Amino acid sequence: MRRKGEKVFLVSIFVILILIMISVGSRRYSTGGFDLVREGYYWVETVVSVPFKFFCNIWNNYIYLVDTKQENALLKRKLSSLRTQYMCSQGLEAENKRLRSMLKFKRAYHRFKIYPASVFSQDISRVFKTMIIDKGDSDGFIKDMPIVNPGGIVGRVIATSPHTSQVLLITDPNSAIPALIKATRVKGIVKGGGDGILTLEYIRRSENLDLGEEVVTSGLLGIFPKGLKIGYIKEINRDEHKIFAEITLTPSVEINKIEDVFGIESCVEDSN
Amino acid sequence: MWKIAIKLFGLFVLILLIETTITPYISGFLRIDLFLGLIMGLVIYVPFAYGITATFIFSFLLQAFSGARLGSLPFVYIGVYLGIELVKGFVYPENILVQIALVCVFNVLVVAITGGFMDIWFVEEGLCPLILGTALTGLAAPVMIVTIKQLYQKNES
Repeated sequence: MRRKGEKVFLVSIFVILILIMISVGSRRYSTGGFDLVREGYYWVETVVSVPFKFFCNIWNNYIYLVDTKQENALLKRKLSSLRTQYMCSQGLEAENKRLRSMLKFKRAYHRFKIYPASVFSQDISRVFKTMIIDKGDSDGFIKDMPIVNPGGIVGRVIATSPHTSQVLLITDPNSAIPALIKATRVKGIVKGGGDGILTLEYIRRSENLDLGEEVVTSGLLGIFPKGLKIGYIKEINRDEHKIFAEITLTPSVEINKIEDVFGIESCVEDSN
Repeated sequence: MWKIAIKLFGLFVLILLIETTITPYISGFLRIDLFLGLIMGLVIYVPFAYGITATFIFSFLLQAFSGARLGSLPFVYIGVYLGIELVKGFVYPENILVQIALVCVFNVLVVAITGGFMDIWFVEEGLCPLILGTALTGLAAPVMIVTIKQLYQKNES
């Protein structure tokens, strides 16, 4: 009986704590405490990866040395070396292509201050779409900074710590971006579907729209610069009983394949 | 008790590394919830007071790695803890098949509930990632449970 009382007491305490958290959740994103947690995790991940890389190197070098002892292995080694070179060159080619597109992007957006970063980890839950990048406020990243890559818009920073930033992706259900259809200049709001797609809302049913039309940021609210690519119209539903059309977009960026991103300083023109 | 707390925290950090860094590296769509296995292990082998406290603290820390509203992850995972605690009276939780089945069911529930918070129907993302993620979550659960068992029993002895 006493145990049952203890259990009820504990559960009550946690329920109250959760209710308090939910009720103060108007500041819905991470607070200073969470930034510390992420910062700690950044160092743990960095420290863990050091011995892992070290053992990988030992392993590779050992295999390499064993091969050199056998005459017959010489040809194999040459062959494997060539294969590796080929593979490396393929990797380098891909990297080169990626870096070129990033450079092209940087040139295209030379009016803005651009801060490069790499993706560090992704959201732990299936429903919410955030990611953590390896640059924080000590690298110039600030809250609400737009995050982009050569494909288009990726999201915006919602919390920073000295070495990490949490990015709310455009596909997250909490994300909303003022947008316009590039060809017709019709304005709407792009919201995250939480399922890898986007929806374009508040576009009148009567508007003339075509599939595949490009949707870009409108520059309203000042968070995202005007003209950044968001996605393409994938599906249009015109329900007779609704004022607005239901429009689905395909993001211009492959969210699940992002490796490198840029933070851009909103609406700040480079003096150069 | 400090020893087991530190070990559990180490296990939690490992889970975090796997879930946020390694799994997304393998597949962007795949989500394996190892935390559910950890919770089940806590329900089975760790006293209620410690188990529920650990669940609360860990799920609270998980908020730092998610865009979920503050308090929603503790709400969901404390719910899972209490759910498993309740079901424990009707099934034999030390059976591996029961563990897999329970964790699979709770994984789908977690996705449905967190999706429900945001008015998202979880199937929209595609059934394949959900089914695969749920199956792998279920299969990983016995490993997590055995780990908790080992940690706790070593600590007891």
